[in-house]
Amino acid sequence: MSHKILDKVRLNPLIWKMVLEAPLVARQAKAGQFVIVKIDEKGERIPLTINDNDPSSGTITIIFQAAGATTKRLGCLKTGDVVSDLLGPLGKETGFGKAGRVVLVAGGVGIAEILPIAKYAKKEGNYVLTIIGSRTKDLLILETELKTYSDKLVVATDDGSCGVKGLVLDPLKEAMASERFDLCYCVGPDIMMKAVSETTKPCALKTLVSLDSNMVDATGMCGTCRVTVGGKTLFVCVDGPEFDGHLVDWDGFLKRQKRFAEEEKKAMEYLESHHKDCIYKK
Amino acid sequence: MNTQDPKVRIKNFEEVALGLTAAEAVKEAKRCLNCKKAACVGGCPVEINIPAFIQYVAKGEFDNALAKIREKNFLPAVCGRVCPQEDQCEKVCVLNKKHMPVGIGDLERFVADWGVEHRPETGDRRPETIGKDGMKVAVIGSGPSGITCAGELARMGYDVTIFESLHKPGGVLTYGIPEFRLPKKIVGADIDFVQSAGVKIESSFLVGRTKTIDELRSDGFRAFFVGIGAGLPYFLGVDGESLNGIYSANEFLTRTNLMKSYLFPEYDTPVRIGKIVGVIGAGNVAMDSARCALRLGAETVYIIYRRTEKEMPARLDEIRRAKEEGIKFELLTHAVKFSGDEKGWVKEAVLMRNELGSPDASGPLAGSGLSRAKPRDGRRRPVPIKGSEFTMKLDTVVCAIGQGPNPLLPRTLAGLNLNEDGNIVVDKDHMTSIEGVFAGGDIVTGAATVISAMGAGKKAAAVIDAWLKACIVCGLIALFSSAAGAETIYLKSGEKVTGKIVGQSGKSTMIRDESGAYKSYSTGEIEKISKEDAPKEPIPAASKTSVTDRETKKDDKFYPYESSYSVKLEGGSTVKISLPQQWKRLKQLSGTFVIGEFEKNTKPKALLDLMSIYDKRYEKYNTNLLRKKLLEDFSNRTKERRVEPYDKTGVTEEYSDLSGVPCLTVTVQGSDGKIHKIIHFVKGSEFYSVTFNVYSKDDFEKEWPIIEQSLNAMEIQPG
Repeated sequence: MSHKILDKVRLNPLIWKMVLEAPLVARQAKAGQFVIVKIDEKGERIPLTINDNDPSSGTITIIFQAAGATTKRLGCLKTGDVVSDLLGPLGKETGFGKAGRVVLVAGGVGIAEILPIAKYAKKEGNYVLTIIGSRTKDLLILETELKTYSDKLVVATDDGSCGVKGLVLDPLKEAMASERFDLCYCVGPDIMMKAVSETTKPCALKTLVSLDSNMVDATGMCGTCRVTVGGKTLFVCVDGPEFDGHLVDWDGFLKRQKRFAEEEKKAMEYLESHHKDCIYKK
Repeated sequence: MNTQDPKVRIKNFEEVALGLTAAEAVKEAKRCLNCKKAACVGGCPVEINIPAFIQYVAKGEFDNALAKIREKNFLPAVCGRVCPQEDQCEKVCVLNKKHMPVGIGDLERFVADWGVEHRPETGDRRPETIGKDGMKVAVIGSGPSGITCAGELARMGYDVTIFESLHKPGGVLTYGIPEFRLPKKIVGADIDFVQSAGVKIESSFLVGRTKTIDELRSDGFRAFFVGIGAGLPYFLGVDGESLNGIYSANEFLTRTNLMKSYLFPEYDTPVRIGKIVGVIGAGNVAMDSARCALRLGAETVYIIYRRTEKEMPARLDEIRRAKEEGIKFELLTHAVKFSGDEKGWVKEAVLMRNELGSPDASGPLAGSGLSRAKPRDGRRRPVPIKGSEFTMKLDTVVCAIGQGPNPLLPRTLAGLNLNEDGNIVVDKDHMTSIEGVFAGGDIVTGAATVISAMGAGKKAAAVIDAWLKACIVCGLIALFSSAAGAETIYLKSGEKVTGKIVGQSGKSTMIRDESGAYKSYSTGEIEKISKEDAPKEPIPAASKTSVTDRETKKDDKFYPYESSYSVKLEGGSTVKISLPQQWKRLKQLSGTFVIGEFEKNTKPKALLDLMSIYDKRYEKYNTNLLRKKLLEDFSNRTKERRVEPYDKTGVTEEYSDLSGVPCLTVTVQGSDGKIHKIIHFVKGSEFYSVTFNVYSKDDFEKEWPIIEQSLNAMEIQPG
């Protein structure tokens, strides 16, 4: 069954928001879960976080950064187009419940992924501090939406064009120094999740991270997304995507994340020569 | 059989074995002795009538040969290629004693391929789909067991939907077995055939996530077959296993076959292959992986196996072809650890030599790299030789040491019994610990062969059929249906009832209320039904009634001829219900329940009365077809009439109503004092007769109202 794109909005030069027709997924989706999307016959199966779901209209929202060949190709689809396959909801749902005082940290397209977590945290009755970061003001997304679900929102940009200047780590350290927190939740680039986990570890602030990995079936069948957590081999697709950031073997994970780096380059070259329309003009 | 030249074929993904020509097939078929007691049939897990199809081949009647195979096998093109015939039909062929056995597998493949090519209009007979009775069965997983089970059930007239989590159906046939051994066009043709039998396939649907089994029950699915295979990759449990360049066979084969990464970058999914590849294991999956690696451009490919060639579990053909293609075999060897470069890529393996110990059942060696695989019966155990470690340069490793059960679906099913390995536990009838949920194939047995999974699917289909009928009889469907969410039923009188509607006709509506009791209301009394303001607690099944024992007498491996169910009723006593297989359809039911005797071509009074009631009630439906069918079938039935086995003292006939469907109840007291109550009714386009045997008249009088109530609760819909 194919799934129609009902709406498409560009949030920044790289990030797209899409509303897809997916009635079954829309009924079941919970915060923290993802779907597998396959564009067409030749497409690969990629995991994308479910950003929002509306059971009554039977739709889900995905927000993605057109970074690789497949996401670029997805970004080129128009409202009314279809993706051939969509499977979900997959992965374990977020379930930290009422933890107390929660600090959410997100960067890049992770800001989109933290939105359903913020919504969930607020609904469960937590105090929510949200810290989001990006390179520059123009790349920031969903600030207004996140404000709705946060008691406090702090913005950090590398160039200081919005909020505080620097990485998300500084406002995080500051917050930890002045306030007590019960839980940290981080989504963003791998290197950022690693740094945040390392920052919170000395203070024993429980930190959940939401990992993203290359996947094939995403049902625990292939093991390509395996990651070592607390000495055990786990699969991001079925055991995650949420893990204890203090237990993740970050060095191993970061190396594994590069296992198809060369192929990604080849795919981009192919895309450039075969799908010229899909290359963005800034 | 002719094959592609090894030097050529290692550069392409086209099929290796080219198949027989028509002349070769006829010649081979003529070697068959057409034994009276054909051992080969017993050697076939799905019991194809092998001599019969081979005789057709010998006569050149390939369409008839295909029809003969398809009577028993939904996937002939697949089985002809992947069955281990040397351990099954061909092993027991009489000619095997002195000469070469008849090439049964090759002939099966020839006939199936002929069918794919010619699609004979009459010869390629579609499965006979007898009028659907709307009974929905869900099959989870579209691999060999699921497809077979679904096909069989559809053939019996059930409304079957297969749920598949991947985007393409076929299970291991699609994602696992490579194109060069099993072309996807062939798999597609066999799957098309099953769909033509009326099976629906929902792909990208992960039962447990997209919908749970309980939700599917609320959607009207009555029985479930879980055939989800062995989908969890085993790793060795040694150091360095998560290095880049190390794949599970599942990942490696899925990328290559399902995602067509051999066509990357035209296809988006990559697979990275190095120059020297080590494949751990020596089953069919390992051979497939090794041969794929070669075709993807590897220079040297090793099979690393802990025992000797004799113990290799792969098909002989595959081992032979792997050798022809230049795969190197490192036998009596296992991997101890892998080490990598600074970027995290595997660069070498530390291997260790073994010798074979005694064929005992002692546990595997923990932490030795042999820890996952289980000892097989009678195979000699590998024992590592101390100090024999050596290193091998490798840049890609494929772990093909077996697969286990994927826990994703079982985890979502409370009350499902699993064994210590995580496989689903079933009884001899393939039923799991959850009533109405059946399982078969690798998820039950652990990783095995395509054909054994098909055998399980086939047997499960027969049992599901018998079980569903048992449920129809005593209304157990309503009783077991896991209590979907409650509804609030507002009556015109202002009263409201919380419960679940379990049966409805134009006239009356049956509700199971919060306590599990049944109440009947006139449909006209109901104002509205609302789900929203009903309490969230599920409505309990009337759990005081339960099946306490099932017994199946089998005349045939797949079709239990008689099932007895002991049902403990609410009143506390147990009623034994016998279900002759024959009541399935009138056609097959000839004479079983003949009451009295009648001459050929005379219409029995009971039928005439029933038909006249039916006509009156359902004028708006097209009853002509039904009339015709009933008459036809009744006349067939008189041809084979049997003498009523009971003495006919105390025969009574009574017309009554089951949820608005007219039925005729005949009560007979046998000379043995037993009461036999036989209910005839027409449901959908089919005629049913249901017999109850009860031990004593007292028991019967006490329990009958409860049985009647259950029958009334059946969701019988006219037309």
